[in-house]
Amino acid sequence: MAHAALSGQRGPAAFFADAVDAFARAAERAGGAVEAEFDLLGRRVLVRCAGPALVPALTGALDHRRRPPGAGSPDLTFCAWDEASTGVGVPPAPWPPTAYGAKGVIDGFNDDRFSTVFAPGVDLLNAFDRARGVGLFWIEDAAAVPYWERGFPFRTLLHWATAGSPAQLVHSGAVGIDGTGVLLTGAGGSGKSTTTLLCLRAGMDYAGDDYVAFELSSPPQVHSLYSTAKVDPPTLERFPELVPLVGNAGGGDEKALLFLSPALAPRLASPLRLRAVLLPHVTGGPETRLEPASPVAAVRALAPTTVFQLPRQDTESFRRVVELSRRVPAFTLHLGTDVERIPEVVAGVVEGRFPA
Amino acid sequence: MRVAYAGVDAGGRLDVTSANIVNETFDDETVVVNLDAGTYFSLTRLASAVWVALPGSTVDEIVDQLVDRYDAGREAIEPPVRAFVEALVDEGLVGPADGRTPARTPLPPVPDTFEAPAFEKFDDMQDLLLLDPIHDVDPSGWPTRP
Repeated sequence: MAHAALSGQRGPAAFFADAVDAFARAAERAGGAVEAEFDLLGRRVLVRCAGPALVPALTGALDHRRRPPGAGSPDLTFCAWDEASTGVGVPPAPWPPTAYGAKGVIDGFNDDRFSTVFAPGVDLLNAFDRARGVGLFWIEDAAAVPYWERGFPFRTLLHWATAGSPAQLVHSGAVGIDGTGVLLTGAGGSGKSTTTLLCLRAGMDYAGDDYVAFELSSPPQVHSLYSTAKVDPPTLERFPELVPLVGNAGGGDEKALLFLSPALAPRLASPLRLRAVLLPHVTGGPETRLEPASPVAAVRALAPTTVFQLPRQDTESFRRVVELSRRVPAFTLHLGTDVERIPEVVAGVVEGRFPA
Repeated sequence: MRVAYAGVDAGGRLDVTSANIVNETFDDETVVVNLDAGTYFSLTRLASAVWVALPGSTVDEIVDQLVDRYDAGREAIEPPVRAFVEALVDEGLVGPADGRTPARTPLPPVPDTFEAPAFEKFDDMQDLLLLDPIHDVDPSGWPTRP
């Protein structure tokens, strides 16, 4: 543990400071930082990109949460740069090759204040200084930001920013009506994305499809983070009206990434009071119906996928999902082939008409 | 099957092995997540009750309570209960308490008829942990691309 610190080399604070300096140099070389502000989780988040290269990739999905620049310091500042357009890389890694752990968490460079994760394969650096609310994002080439990362930019930094708060990012969709909504959670193939988009088409509000945040307030709420939806090609065929909103080239294993803002901005609602957790599941039969599910079913649907995807704060995340599952009822949503009926059933839950 | 876990075999007290094993019990269902391994487990009915009562207890104490509770007889009860606990140990969820003294919880209500306790294991999300170690780094210490 903490090899570098013990051997007198540079620890997490020094590495973070070096990386902040690297961002400053990158911004200078790129002609300045391009800034935009967003309202996320009720916090004022300032995004600073070194030059224009990363701006579309990292702010497109946040478009619906854009806010005018405020006075004074923001709650969170996320600084992002790429090496290809700025010529500035990351500082040398002061840790040994053995320090790269599960989920890219770097051993010895994560403590109560600092988080340092290098996502292997996609080669993204995320680092966070909790005390100052400053996050760093680095990638070698802005053109290499994976399409899914464009769908949930700064997901890791936002997760760390929730430490010690009642909010929790969660792998889930959310839809609603008039300020009240439901979480929709399930694995790939469960019908989650189809359900959220059918609800959107039926006139319901939309808070997200892949990652949202819930807050253990009274009553619990769900916050929209991203205006995107990620759908596979057969699902997209059901929604020809959304094809103009596809923002990626696709091909290979890529799903289509839809940017619902600005076109559907009025329908992207947040926060929503949370009425229930729905666990969609494709039946093959015609009828769509609800069945009460146990809290443990909600925990099983929400917790593993969330805690295994997001680095650090595992126990805290698990505890929040447990608490939510105790406070909000869960229902299995058996999805029938008569798809027009699906939004009616979901709306019924939102409005308290179902289950009778 | 007799296993080589001294804490289980020699009547030692048991506990959840580490802070990275998180769990929650709702009525007669327990979900356990192994944060290090990327696996999670569902325990229902008697399995959930045994899980709740395990910390701070020995296997023999659990077996004795179940023998008292059911008419099935020790021969029918002890082997499946012992096998269940050994399976929990094999999964790294439970082990010798090693001097810790976890708060003991009485055996919760159990089903009317004895059943062999068992768990369901899910490892469908293990790849999310990116457990593959990084082998090669460049001179600046960052992983090299394949």
